[in-house]
Amino acid sequence: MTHNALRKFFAPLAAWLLIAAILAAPGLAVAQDADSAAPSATGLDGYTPWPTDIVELFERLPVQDEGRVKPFDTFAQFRMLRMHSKRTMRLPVKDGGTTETVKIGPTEWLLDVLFRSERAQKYPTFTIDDSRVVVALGLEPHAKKRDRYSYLELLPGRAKLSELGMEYAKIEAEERTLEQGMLVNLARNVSDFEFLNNQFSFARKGIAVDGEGLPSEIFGETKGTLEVAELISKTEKLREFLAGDRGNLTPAVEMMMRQLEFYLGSARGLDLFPPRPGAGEKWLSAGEIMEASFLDPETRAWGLERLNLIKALVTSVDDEEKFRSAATAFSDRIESDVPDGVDPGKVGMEVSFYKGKFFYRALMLFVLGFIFIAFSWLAPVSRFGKWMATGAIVSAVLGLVSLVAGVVMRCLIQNRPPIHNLYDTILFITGVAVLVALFIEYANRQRLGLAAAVVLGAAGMFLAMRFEIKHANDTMESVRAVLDSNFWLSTHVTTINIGYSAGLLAAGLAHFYFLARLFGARKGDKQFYRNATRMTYGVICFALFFALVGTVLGGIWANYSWGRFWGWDPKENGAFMIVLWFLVILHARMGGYIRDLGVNAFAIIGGVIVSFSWWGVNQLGVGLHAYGFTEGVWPALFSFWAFELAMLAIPVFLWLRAREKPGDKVEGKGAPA
Amino acid sequence: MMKETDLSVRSLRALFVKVITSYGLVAIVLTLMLILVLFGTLEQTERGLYDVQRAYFNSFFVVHHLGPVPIPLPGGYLLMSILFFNLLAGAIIKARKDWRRPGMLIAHSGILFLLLGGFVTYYFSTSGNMALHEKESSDEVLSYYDWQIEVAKVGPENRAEEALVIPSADFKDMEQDEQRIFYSEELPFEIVVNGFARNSQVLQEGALEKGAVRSKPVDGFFLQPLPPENEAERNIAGAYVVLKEKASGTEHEAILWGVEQHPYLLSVGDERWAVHLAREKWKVPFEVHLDDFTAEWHPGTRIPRVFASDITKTENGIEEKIKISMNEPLRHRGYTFFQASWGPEGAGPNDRLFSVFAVVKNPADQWPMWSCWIVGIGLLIHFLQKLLGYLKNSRKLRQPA
Repeated sequence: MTHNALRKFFAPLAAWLLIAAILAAPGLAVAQDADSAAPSATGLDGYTPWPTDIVELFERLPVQDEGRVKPFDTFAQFRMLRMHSKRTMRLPVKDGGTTETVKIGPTEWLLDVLFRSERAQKYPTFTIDDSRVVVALGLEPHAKKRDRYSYLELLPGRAKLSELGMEYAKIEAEERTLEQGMLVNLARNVSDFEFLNNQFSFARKGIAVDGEGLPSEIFGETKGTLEVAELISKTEKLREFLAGDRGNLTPAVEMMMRQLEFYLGSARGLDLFPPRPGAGEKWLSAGEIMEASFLDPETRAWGLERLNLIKALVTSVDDEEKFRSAATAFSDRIESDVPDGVDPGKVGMEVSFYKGKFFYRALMLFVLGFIFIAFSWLAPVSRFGKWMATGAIVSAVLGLVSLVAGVVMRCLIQNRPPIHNLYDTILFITGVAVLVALFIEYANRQRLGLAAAVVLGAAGMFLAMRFEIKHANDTMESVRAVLDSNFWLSTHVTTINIGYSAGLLAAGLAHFYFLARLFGARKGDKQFYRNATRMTYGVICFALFFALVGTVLGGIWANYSWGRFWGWDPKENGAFMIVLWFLVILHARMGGYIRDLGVNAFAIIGGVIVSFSWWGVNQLGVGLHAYGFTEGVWPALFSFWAFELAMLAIPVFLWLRAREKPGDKVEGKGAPA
Repeated sequence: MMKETDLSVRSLRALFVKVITSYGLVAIVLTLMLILVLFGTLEQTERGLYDVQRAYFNSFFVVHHLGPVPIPLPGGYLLMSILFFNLLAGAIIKARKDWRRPGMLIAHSGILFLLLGGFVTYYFSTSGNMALHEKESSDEVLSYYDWQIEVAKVGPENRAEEALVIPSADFKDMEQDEQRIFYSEELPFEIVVNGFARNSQVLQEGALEKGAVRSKPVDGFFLQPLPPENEAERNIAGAYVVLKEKASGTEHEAILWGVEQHPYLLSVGDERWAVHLAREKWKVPFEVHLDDFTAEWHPGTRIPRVFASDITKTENGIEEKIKISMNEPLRHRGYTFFQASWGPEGAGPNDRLFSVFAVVKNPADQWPMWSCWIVGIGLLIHFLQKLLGYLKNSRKLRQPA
């Protein structure tokens, strides 16, 4: 669109020039930069930290990305996660004869990439999980199989990376080998980095001209560098010149246009500027502002003002005071341009949300809770054991509070119910599982509910963390039309996830039951084990209620939105399978076909079915719910199922042992709940 | 002798009642259902939903192939039917007097009602779609899957008169090598249908190797059957027809293909006839006019934010302006119009857009919602009763760990 429009505008320029410029765009400026900077794996020559107030100012700067307005910091975080697999970066910095490590966060990293572009090319930005990827690019890998590489280290393999990336991108994501998947991701990440790195090159370098051949009636006396803003301000004259006499397309004019094309193409992907009033909702990048300024004389003054703000930032980067003043002017302009529909308070709240690290804190608290409960098992009835158990309860409750606070903040930021994507379900399911487990603990004080609370809490938070890193996309993304707020959808999603949660909790309790039996804990205490089974059974009933009602509500939503109650879609089937299995457990128990061992073993199978419905069906790639394909889920799922299968060997072993030693039975009679 | 027979009949009946009302039967049926649903879900990665639904869930028996191993299973109909009678006999009739457990009785009644709703929906609901360009009107709904053969006399000014229709049900089960003859006193010819294909393409003679195609092409073209699409609504049906004049016995062979814009034309004496294969259609008792279609995306992305159709509904001369959007259908006279899709893909700001509505008529439309309330209330009563009992017991049994 951009280039087409320009082509029409600058009709005299040949099409080949345009295409060549676009293709060459990312590499061109980098090649210019590369001349002055050699790769450095051993350390950077010093690092000047960004002043805290400037970092804070940029953190809160609103940008539009993936259809929504978010803080600059959130934008930086997810770009950094995609490339670096972490939210912090450790830079090796030479200090005299030694090398020190400097830690920087996402905003500092992005500021470096934007404003200290040559330096940022030496940062160990790209995480490569397997050095075979580096070898495939014809480069020398580091000693470690998984390591981080700088842009300059990868640059010699850039052409090969593009070639392989494009080739493998044609293969469906689920069909790619691990190495092919890594190459596709690396190609995308390197390209994204180049766009960010060259975002402000137009202001930093301007257009290099050799002086010969530029029309002096437009540009006056020739000089070494021409500012893009100056060129824009002379658009009309240039247009007349180009339209009037094609013979004047000298090499100097061609070179000028080529560089201009490069800047228009490369300053994309960072939409910093709110649109002019009445010009739609799409925010603009610097490249789009340049384009609009060229094409529309009425936009020109508006655009030039904003481009000059960038120029002021770029040229003052080595002078702290000047940069502070330029940054403040820039931020003030953006804030005053923010349209009415955007709430700046939400942007600030999102920064606080990520700084609060609620889910990381919850993970730490659940892990601490687990340590406490593990110690309490050493001497359960002693005072020490009781103190440890109290510590576990406090940790679990605080962990839950932190988790709930995070979820509530996400709801407030997005102004919608808690569940809209796979990541949300992890948080919600973990929260409900911990809450129900703590309620069980409150009801019977057997420490089984408590153990389940901290273990499931920690597992859920760990999963959320891993998912965020693996997925590396904004977890508060824009909502598709069909999933937009609807009463039946919201109630269905919430209810069915409570069902998933309870199903997993029942499976978790069953694990503790079997481990306790296997290791002979509370040996001879038949009442303890019967109580444990009653807990599992009760949670299964709870799960059935929510899974059944949630499944039917899903049908009601589908009927309300699409006109059919049931379509045998994989996700619907997954939920239905959970309902069926819990009904099997209940009826088999009522009929006396299974007892304590059976209920617990079946609960573990229930957990397997929940995991299939929750994660597996999304990976099948068919049906209306196939929205959540995530690379690397199948291996994790199969590992989980293999573990659960191994776990089921315990009830088989216990059952065989009980047949040999009838006195060893702890089986209850009749329905336990 | 008579007494013995009576006794054995009685004991057989007792055994039947015992089995049909047993927990064991429920557990087995539900487990089989679970296996069926699992296989039916996995099979969808290989075959389309439409085929899987018919083979696994709308059937009495199915053989699933787990690699090379065939696994025979009862189909969805059979299992649902057994479950229905098991519920009726076991959970409702047998448990009728057990008023200590009202929750279970209510919940099982709700499930029964839900199953009943499923049967009613399957047998009595109809669905299709209506696609309208902006400023167009229609009262016709097209089927997603079924095709009909329409035969109409061509009147003055090349306008087709009222058509005779061979409905889909009369030929859709035909095998490739089967033929059927259709006869009507109103027509001067018989229609012989053969080589019907659910999904097909028309190719020029010589496009495929010899032997891979039907030996007798028509006017240099032949109909190539294709495997069904995973999304069944994408299938394009086709058939060979031979139109045999009653008076002269002259035969006219033609290919009918679902996406052809123009019908096959035949002159018999002074009359001209048009023969056409088209999607089955039915009418709604009101007209829908598409005034405007709006598509919006989240800024700077291709993530859809709003799809909406502004329509005018006209019934008995009375006009009503209505907006149909995602999650906001039009419900009127037992019909529901949903915003299903739109086009053309990649349309620019000045392109004329079209909107597609899914149209459904289902007498059991709201039954699932009512049954959800019944089941929910029933389970809530039951499990709350149990929870309170559990908490009471726990208090008694609570002891230091």
